[in-house]
Amino acid sequence: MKDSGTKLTRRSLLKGVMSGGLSLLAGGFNSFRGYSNSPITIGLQAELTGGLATYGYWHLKSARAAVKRINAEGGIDGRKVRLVHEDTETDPITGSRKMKRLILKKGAELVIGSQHSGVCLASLPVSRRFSVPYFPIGEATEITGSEGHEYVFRLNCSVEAHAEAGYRWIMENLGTSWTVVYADYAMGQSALEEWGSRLETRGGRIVGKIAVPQGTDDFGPYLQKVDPEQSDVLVIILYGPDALACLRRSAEMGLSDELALFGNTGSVEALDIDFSGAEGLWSITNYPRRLEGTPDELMDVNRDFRDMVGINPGGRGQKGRIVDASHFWVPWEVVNLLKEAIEAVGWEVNRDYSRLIEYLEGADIPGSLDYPQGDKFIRDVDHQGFHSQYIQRVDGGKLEIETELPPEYSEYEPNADL
Amino acid sequence: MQMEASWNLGKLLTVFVVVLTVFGVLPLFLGRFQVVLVTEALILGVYALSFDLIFGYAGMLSFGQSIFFGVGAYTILYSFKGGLGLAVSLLLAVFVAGFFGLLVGGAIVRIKGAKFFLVTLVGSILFYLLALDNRWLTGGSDGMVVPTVFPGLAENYYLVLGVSVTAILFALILVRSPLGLVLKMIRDNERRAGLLGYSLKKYKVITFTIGGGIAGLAGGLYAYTSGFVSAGFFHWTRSADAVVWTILGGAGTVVGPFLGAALLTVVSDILSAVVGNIYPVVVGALLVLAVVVFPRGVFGLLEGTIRNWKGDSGG
Amino acid sequence: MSKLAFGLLNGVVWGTVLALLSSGLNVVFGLMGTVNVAHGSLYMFGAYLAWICFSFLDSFWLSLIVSPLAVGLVGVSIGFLLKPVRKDPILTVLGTFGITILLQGSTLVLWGGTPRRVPLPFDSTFSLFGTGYSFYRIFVALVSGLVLYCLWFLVERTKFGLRLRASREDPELSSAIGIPVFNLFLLGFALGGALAGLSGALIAPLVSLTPEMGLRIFAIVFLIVIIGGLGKIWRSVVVAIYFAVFRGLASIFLDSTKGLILTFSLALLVVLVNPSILGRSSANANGS
Repeated sequence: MKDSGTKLTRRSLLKGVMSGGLSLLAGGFNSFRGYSNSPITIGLQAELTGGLATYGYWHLKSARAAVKRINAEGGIDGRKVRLVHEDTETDPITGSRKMKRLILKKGAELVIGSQHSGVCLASLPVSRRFSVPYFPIGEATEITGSEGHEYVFRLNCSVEAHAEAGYRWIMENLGTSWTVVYADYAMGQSALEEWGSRLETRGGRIVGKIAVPQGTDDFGPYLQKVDPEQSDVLVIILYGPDALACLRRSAEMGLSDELALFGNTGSVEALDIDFSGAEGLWSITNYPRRLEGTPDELMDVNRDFRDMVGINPGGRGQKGRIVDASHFWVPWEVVNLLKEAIEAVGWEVNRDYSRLIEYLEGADIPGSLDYPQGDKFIRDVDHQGFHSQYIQRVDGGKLEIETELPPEYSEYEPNADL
Repeated sequence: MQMEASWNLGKLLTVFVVVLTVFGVLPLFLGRFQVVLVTEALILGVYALSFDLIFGYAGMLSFGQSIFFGVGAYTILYSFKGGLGLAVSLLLAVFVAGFFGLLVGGAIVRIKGAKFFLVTLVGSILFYLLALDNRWLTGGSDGMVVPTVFPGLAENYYLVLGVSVTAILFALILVRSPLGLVLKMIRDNERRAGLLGYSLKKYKVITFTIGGGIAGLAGGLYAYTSGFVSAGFFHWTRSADAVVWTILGGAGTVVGPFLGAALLTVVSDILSAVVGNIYPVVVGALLVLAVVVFPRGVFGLLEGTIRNWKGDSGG
Repeated sequence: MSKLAFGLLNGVVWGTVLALLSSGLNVVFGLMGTVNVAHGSLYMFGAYLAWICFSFLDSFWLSLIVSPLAVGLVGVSIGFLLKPVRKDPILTVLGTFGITILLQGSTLVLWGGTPRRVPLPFDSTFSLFGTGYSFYRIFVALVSGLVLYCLWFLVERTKFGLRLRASREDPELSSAIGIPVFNLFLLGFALGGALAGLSGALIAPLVSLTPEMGLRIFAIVFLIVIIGGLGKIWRSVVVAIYFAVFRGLASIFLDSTKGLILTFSLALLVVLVNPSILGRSSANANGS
């Protein structure tokens, strides 16, 4: 205790020395970046282990393929691109640390985000703190809404965009009385709000809301609450193993014969649902799992794109791993978008990205090999991207695309003005 | 522990000053991310210490520390939302989490052995489910962003270092106080302590309360330095982390938990970057190896080495 | 009314399966005083073996033999590995926790995170209170019941079971009168592993397989064993059925996570307030 006085002075002294040292370090870093042929470092937060490991596996492949292609063609504005990645372990706490690791240790100057909304939300303060542009993939609406900031851009649709595009199609084609089975945690709960409120303002009705906890094995008691006499559609808002288990059980219980089944994006994503038991399941997706569902004008570029990432026309890779078709294209497109933007406005130093941000705000992006998912635009007020979505159906044991919903279809009222 | 007891105050003070000096100048020699890492390791060390008081000193194998970690984190969130300052908020985190410690400790103090392990495990599962279910309050699995200006890395480091030092001093005084001695007696021979007239329940509940408060402090620091909270803070695997760090570092010592937390934070950081998705396999294998090869923890190992070395040089 | 009846019957079926799963933990834990946290992951491993048998060998049925054998072997290896610390309950918890991480991680590396599916081996369903119900579920419940009976017979009615129980009650005395305690320790682990493997294979067609499925179910199985009482196989069966029926009914009449919270709270209350609700001997759980 008696040395507390000296400790204090020592601490404040150190603080001074510290910040001096830091700015020296930072200065050196920046002048290094000033050289015209220094590489541009892009970071990727991927779920390589944990619950979303399937997604991260593909996102890494997608980003690597994009970087490899750009480097083979001479890089961005003559600079090589260096891709660095970290595993979030599908956990916000780890994910936030890995975001710092990407920026502070691996020198990432731009970061492509995680699939896990919790990881994305945990990474937003880090992106703001270090002024690093962040391109999250997680679908929670708040990411480009209440929690969004000027450095955040999301190319792919949010939960709300899926709801906006999907609910109208269901009302017009499958029916207006719904029973909703949803995951009883943030993703499912917010999706229920988005889909349900839209349905009800248009005169539709939610007959039953069935909340299911994560990791449910026995869907019997839950699905037993579905009343096929009262409802036209069973809307499934689940993801991963839960969605698969729900679908199989509803087939076993004969529900699929009595009413239409419709799944949100997550309920089919990266799942082995193209088997005969899932016959008739409708769902919404950002991108067709099977190549043959791609619009004609994009067929050739998508064949090449899939080749470079390592996905066969059926939507599978090595060891039969099923691609997360709705999302795996995002890292590829973000890398290409960054190339386009940087080449247009020039590379900026000192983490001043104002011109880059300006370029991305309101960007119109045409479908091409750089953007194989198709035409899209980034709304300038909230930095949310909008693109085509597809309605698909399991038909003859295969996921077949039924119809394409154009980008305007999913545009909802912005929740933020940056 | 015997060694610890045999050390006199002067030696202890010398070691303390040396260690503090090292940590004080450490950021000068570290990269920016390493500062982040050491900051995090210190917070997790405080968290592990809270478990160590309950397990290492009072003999209760609790898998419920994540409850208090989470409560502390959410206290910070709401205290900031209410416009309170950092110091007040951290104190509040300690008291609120300590209060939860009192409640939980009071409810489960009669339970022993494997059943205690189960009850605390299910307890943290329940808190996690409650946090998931009440999204209006917790943000559920997506969590919430803490409304604060993200502080500088060096400020964070010195803040956390200061809090850790305080926690260590507090723990050192505590385990040498009459309370600490009674706890050790209870751990080593519960029946005898009871026969000597000590109210076991009372002492155990007090320990649980203190442990809860310290875990809350760690949770609060974590929420503050990382800028977010989520239901995942309550998850039981978070409790398991504290158990693993403490036992690997050396239970029943004040330094052990910090050693374990630091070692695993650094090792896992390096490993997950190097080995990719094989990382959990390596961590699992290391844990098994550690349990079989040095069951007394790294600190025990060091202690043994030092003692051998001393023995050699003396002879 | 039909909802209630469905809930009851479905609960009994799931309860029997959970009982089989918990019996493996019970053997290792109750009889040997060792908490095998890896039990859930052994079950997961058994389920993945069923998926492998189905997808690569084209026969799901083969897995009913392959899974118990292979997972039993894994169990023995765990026993060998943890031999030095087998007398310390806390270190065995840690060691088996490490094995859990190891097994879960290996599964991810080997077979990826994609949830895997094993089709129902019987296509036919019958109508249970208005909804379809697979015959396979009934089959699983019957097989589980049969195996549980055999297990009970082995532990309570044979010399092997007597030795197992004796070495749990008093390891020193047992080894003094010539019972090889360590070998029994290994045998217990083998048996526990085989039971986990068999449960995994049987349940595989009913659930989605993921590397995390084992860790997720562990707490429930552990709860069942503790409430049922260590070493008491039939009591575990009763508790497992109670648990499954209650959880099912709670999720029919309440809402999901709230139902789960209620189920866990009540179970916790049972453990906290009075363990002897289900019989005296569960008081033994205080030991170890």
